[in-house]
Amino acid sequence: MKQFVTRRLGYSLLSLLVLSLTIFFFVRVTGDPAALLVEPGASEDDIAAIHHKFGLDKPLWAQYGLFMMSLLRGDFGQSFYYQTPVLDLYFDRLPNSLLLALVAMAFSLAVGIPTGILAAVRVGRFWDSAGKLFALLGLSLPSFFVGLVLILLFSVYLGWLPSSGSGGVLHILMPAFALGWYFAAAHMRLTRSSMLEVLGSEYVKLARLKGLPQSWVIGKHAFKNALIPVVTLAGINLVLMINVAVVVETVFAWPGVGRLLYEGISFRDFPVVQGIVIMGGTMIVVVNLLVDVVYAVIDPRIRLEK
Amino acid sequence: MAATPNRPLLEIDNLSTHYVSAQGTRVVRAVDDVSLRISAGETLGIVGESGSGKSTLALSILRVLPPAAQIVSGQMWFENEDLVRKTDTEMRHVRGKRIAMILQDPMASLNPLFTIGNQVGEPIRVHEGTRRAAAWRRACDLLKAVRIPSPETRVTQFPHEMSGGMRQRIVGAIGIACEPRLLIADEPTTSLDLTIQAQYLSLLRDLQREHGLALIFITHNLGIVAKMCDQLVVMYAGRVVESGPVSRIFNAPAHPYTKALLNSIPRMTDNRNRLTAIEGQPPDLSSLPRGCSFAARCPAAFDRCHKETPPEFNLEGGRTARCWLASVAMQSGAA
Amino acid sequence: MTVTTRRRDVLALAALGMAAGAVRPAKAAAPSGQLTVGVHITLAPTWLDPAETAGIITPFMVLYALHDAVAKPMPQGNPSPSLAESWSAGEDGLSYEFVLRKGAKFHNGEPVTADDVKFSFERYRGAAHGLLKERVAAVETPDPQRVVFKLKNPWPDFITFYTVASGAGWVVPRKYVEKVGEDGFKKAPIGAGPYKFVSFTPGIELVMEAFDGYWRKTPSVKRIVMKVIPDESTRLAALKNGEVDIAYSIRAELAEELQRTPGLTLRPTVGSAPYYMYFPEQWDPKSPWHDQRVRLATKFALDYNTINKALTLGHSHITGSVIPENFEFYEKLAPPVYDPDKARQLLAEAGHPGGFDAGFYTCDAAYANLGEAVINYLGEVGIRAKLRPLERAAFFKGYADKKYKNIIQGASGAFGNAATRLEEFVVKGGNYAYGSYPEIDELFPLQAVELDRAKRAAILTKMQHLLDDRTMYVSIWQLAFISGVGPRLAESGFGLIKGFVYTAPYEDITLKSA
Repeated sequence: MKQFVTRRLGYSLLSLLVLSLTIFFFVRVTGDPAALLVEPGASEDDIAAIHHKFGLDKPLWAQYGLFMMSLLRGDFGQSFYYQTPVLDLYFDRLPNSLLLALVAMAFSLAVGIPTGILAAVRVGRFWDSAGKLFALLGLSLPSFFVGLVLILLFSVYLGWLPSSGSGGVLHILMPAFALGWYFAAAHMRLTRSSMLEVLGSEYVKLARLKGLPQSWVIGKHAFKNALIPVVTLAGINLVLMINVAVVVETVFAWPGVGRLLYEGISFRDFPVVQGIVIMGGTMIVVVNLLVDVVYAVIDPRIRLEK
Repeated sequence: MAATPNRPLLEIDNLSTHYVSAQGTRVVRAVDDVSLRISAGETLGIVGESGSGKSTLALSILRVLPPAAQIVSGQMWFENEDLVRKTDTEMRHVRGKRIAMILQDPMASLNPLFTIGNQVGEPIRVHEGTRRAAAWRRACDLLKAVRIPSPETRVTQFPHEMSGGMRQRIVGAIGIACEPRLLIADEPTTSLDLTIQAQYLSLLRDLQREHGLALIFITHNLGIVAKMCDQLVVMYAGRVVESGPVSRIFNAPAHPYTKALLNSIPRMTDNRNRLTAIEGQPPDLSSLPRGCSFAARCPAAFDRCHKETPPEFNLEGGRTARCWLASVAMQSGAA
Repeated sequence: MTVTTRRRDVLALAALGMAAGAVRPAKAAAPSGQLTVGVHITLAPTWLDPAETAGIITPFMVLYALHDAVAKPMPQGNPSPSLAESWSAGEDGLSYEFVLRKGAKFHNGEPVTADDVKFSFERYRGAAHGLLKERVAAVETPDPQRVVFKLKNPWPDFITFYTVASGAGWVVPRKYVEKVGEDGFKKAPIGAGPYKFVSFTPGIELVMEAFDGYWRKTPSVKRIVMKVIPDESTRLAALKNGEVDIAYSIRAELAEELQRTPGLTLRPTVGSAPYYMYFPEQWDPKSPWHDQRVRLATKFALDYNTINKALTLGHSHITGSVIPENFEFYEKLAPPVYDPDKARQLLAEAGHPGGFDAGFYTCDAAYANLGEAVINYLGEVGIRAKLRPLERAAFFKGYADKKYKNIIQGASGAFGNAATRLEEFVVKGGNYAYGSYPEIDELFPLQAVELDRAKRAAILTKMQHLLDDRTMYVSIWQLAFISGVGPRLAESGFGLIKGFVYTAPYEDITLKSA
């Protein structure tokens, strides 16, 4: 097990290195941040001052060198716009994104897994079709559309929920739904197909032949096996959610990392964009490793292999 | 009500199970007009090639058919109850308890995520309401009964930690856990090594004697039939083509298919250089030809065989044969 | 420049100063209630500190609340005395003296002194600070109430740059800043404005509380919360819901929706950036744009009122000048009219009876909607152009690099006065001037050294007229910035300061009594 993990870690670090290089150069291709920090028609002087302040007047390779050196020290630099360290901003906002992602994930699993199981067990009949419709809508409706409709319905029309921002339990309901629906659909579809596969297996057949009640056959024998791919997907999706929540966070004015990224891009705040992308990459790496560990816990076959 | 020596434990009369495609266009007659009987303590062999309907027949008995399959006609009398008429809930009380089944591939039929003890104990917990701890102990005893060494350790292990032979014994343990009257074994030794096969067969025989089980043994291996079975049913294209006591059939097979099967077993004493195979392929079960389903491949087929489907003829000594030759033989009085 | 004129100016300024100083804070009722503002743009920490003021208008949204300046644009004037009650220029134009108001205090109770003014000027590092540092020789503080700026050379625009076109005139307390350091100040800023800092979550929310020691008047609203809601629809929903009392920047269809909703009021304010069409090829004899009649034709081709109605519900100001209306030395020129027949006639006279292919119409993508409307009308009189919207930074880069042809649609909200605008856009050598006219060019250096204000104004007025005569630019409008106001507001603060699109002065905002 140890050797396996060490090797995986090594590859992950390499890919993070490549990621940092890529985002560093990509972000500079988008243009000059100074132009967005002054009114058009401002003097050359002011623009030059900004360039110097952010170190943008140095040659590209020098900028990259400085960037990597600070990165190794754990310093992601200062945000151009906020004039505060990127990591401070990031960790300020991260809990909010994490909270939103966790609630959305809980929702997506609480809805996706049972509907998937139901659809598989009642394949071809009403609940299967209903499940498929739910999945289709979740996968095709853009999250900002869902968000706006929710705000219109529950905030403006019915006045039940606050329209935006973070605060109490009521504030998180709509953004979590808007974010989670897509993933609920994905989880539902995977659960359904995984379940169908498992339901056709020999051990499920034997379970039936033993005379076990349907609840045992589905709930015990089929469920755990069917879940394995769903767990993997859910783990990866959690990190994805944090990164993909940009739109939902912006629509709902949710103070998370996604919104920070949106602002970073709008303002050409290079350090912020770089920082968020690299942190995002790091999270994916960590989660992948964790998922592998969870796998090993659920599936005893894996434990002994490595 | 238990079966008396004269009354069969299980009597299947004219059972037909068909697979219907989603639109209802294609009908596969997997089991067609099958009748058989088995008495308490008896071993009945069911023999046939792949696709002959043996497994479907077994699953039909326990009514664990895939959604596309349905029993369309016939009756199955088990201890005075027609299994065909029972609801699914009622059948659950039969499965694993009064009639049990062993499947072919033990690696596939055991759930990789649960311990042996858990899986063996399940039918006991469900059918007899035993608590978990007691069921665990019963599982240990069962492993002992199927001759697995150090059962206390084995019971905590997972299926992938065992050899094929051991896994199949465990499946056997599951089968006898609730002391069923009838055990159906669907090709239980096909995926075992030859050396293990003999051990396993002898285990089954011992279990049968100890627990007074009736055993239905499904196989394509006539050698096993010779060793294990009292009665034999030969299936072809979903139908029973011959049935009766094993020794009589082996001595004088009534159906050309049975004859061909017996001929095709390679024997050490043979001087022949080539193996005899049966020419041709079994027919498509969704569009069976007119007449006898074996006629196309039968060396003894004549005109009537291609036109009319032969019924099952009763022959002497408790035998049947679904062949026009049999009718001829009867008419001519040959044994 | 005569001495009498000099003294007249000083007296005028002094009188103004005294009048402003005579306004005593009325004994107002204690501040109460809370105002919540839905802001459309991320609140940056740099806005809490006047020293960082970049050359854009948005930081002032926060500066007007937390801080105060020596003088700043106010309803009474642009600029209007604030922390200073008066100022005067030295006879040679090389020095400017400010007399500070007595009784002006910072939020921590410390009085505002000349020392703080000097300190704030010296620590300023925002827009135009290079220019200011270059021209100011020294800052003296003869006594706690007086500050004197000594210039290296006469610079008539000093006041403009010090008080309007930069954040250098906004004052922070020296002792406090030196005690807590730069970082400490950013986290807990102290200023002299009507509201004091309570808390700030960067990019999310700013909370402020009324400062009852404010010299001008005690604010009526006790607490102001600024929430960032980037999405427009959500912002409007929050306004409808009552979660915010003011929602900035509601455009197009949502603005109509706002208008229709009972209880909500649409408050348009006009920004100080005129939008215009510019003709980079007008100096090229081979180009059709060289003929003034062709340029004039575009001026008559647009149906200004319809475009205004369609895009901004009619609230933008159609203007005839590229100089913002609220700028010093602005000369009002006749606004353009819609006369398509005249346009076609002019084109025919210029030798294009059937119109011509006008190539690309380049603009900032954010304002492509205006561009679309414009080229439609141009097309109807025969000037066939293709819209080429570019992302903002790319657009300005290409503009300054002199890459574009045919028509450029531009706008500039940079601070300054008419002179600074002419310098960048009209006069030879300007960053955005593709060419120039000698008769305009020769006037420019004259006004740069003219200390007599009236004379200077005359020169600048003449330059603006010449500009118009030559149809160097065709102005379209000063864009309306539309915000929504909820039912709780009595005085919302919109439109009080000319050219400033956000609510200000904060101390004048009142809520309806419950």
